[in-house]
Amino acid sequence: MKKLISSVLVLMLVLGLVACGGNSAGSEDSEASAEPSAITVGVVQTNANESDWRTANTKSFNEAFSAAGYETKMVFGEGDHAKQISQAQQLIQEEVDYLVVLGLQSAGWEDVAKSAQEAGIPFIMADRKLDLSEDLYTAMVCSDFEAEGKKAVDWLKAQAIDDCKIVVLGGDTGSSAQLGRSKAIEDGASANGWDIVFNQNMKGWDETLAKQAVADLIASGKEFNVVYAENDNMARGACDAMDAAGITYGKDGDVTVIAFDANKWALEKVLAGEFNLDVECNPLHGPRIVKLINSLEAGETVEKNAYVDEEMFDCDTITQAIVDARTY
Amino acid sequence: MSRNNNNLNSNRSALVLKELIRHRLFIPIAFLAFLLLINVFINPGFLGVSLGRDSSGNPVLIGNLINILNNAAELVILAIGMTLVTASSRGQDISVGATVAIAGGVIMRVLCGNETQPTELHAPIIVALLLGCLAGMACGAFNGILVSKFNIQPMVATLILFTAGRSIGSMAMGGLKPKAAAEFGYYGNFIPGFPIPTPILITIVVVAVTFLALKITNLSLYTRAVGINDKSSSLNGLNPALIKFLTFVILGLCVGIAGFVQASRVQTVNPYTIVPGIEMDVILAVALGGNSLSGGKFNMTGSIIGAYTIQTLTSMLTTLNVNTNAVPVFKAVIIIMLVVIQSPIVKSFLGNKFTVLKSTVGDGKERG
Repeated sequence: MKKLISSVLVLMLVLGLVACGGNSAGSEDSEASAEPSAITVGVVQTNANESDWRTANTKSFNEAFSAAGYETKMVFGEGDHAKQISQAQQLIQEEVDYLVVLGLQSAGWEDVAKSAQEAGIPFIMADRKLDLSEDLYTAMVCSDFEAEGKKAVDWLKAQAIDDCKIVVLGGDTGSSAQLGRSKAIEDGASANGWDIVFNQNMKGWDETLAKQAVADLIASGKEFNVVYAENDNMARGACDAMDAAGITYGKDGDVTVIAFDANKWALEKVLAGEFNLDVECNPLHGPRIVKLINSLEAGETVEKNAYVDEEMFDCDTITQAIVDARTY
Repeated sequence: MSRNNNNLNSNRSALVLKELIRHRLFIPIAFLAFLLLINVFINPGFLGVSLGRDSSGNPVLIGNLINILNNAAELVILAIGMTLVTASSRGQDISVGATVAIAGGVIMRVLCGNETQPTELHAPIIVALLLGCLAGMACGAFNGILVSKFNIQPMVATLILFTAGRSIGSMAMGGLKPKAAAEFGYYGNFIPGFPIPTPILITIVVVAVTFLALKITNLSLYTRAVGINDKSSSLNGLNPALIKFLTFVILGLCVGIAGFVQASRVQTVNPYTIVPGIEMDVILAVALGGNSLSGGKFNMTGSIIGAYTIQTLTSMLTTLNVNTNAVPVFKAVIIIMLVVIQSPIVKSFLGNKFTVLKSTVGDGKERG
């Protein structure tokens, strides 16, 4: 009986591992057949398919790296900050040539960066900036989330809405995207005398919680005329809640909706006038990192703090062509 | 108020009071009433319900109370299953959030196929519901076998799906994040023309079926018997393993229904973020309902009230716009208060305070 139990447990452990690592298994298997000269890039990604944005992001890495002839070892933290850190340590032990980290949380990466440095592995931050002092990382290819937020704030200022009452739907507490975008609107509100009537973070950047929160606000009679949702999904959730209560929003509505990320489906909503503004958060980091690694290989000095170029799309100026050009 | 009565009057009112306080549902109901009162105090219109119209002109009920009843649906449904599992197996299933992700993933895949923005549903909704429930029950059966046949502690056994479930849900969806056609949304929102949110109706049906099942079958008796003592129940001709297995499968069914409601709310599922942390809320609901987490006797009504209490608290933290960093602390402080007041020591202290009659019994702790 005991043997049976233990064998079943082992079986399950294996199954669990297969389930967890399903997405990375393919790339790890192919590693054995690689020629020894190929550059190996370890990527610590956040979640396998948390959103369309993340899917496009992962795809961008895989495509750019395989086009450049790199070996990719991609691992997924699946929402677990501690897991990401141990995955990064593991990649360092496996002696990858470059380590690219997209942190779920911005804090707590010092030890990883230090061990990468000791092992002589360049540490590259992508997507989200981590809390590291400049000497601990080699370069970064990040989105400047505060700048994204500021774009939205400047746009909102230009709209000259009387008596702004803003609902802020934040992302995962402590992620740099949430910190930057929340800071921008909080600073903007105090500088322009806007009133933030609600400011809480929704766990998981998800529609459902945003929808519940906005429905609760409406039910308790809280007035607002701007929704500042820190990603497309939460904006969609907020719109669902307003739909259910008969509140008009968007281009001709009472409530101005601001979203971030600019997925294709969200741009369609901008085009349809449901969202007023969508600030882009560019997921196509792959080619930039390839360029960066090539310059590092060639021994050139690289720009340490490179931010990704990002645009914003507003419902008055967006065109069908912009929506069609978007691939994710 | 209680002290006044006590001083004023004879044994009689003290007795009534004591009976009231000692009633199993007194504390859960008192908490819920207390939270609602605080809300009314802060926002006098809190309990108000008004008839509004949604953007397509259909009548809808709007109000905090409606929102609480609506948003608590998943919690209530899961708490029902969790109560049975707790009672029979003397442990908790911590995989319910992850298995909701699996059920939700299956439902989305059935409805959307491989498209991300399908304009029509790929299968009838009832098929999706049934397959979602089947997926949930399969997960429940998996947990149930580990617990009942292999005698693994429930928390350890369910740790497996807790860890892997969300990834499995994501695989079930084929790595896509589709949004189903709008008519799927009726079950998590409103049926056009009918002003009461559908999740409330679904909850009523599930609760009614549960109480009916507890009344007309021996499930309640057998579950308690197995939870109180495996051996003696098996000596009395019960099959403890089967009963435990059955409760896990029932919880699996609840998971399927909860996954269906949750997926329908926004017509999409993100397996990694769907119902974040609901496991703990569900277990808490069971505890707040005055149930012993070490099994045996259970109090279904208490668990349901506990679930509504938690949703009231969540909703309250939103409407009060508590600083986002302080939300968990706030929640923890209130919950610790609720749990401490329910602890046997405080209970017996209160019991002694109000009466000199026999000491408290019947808090579900008879099992050694």
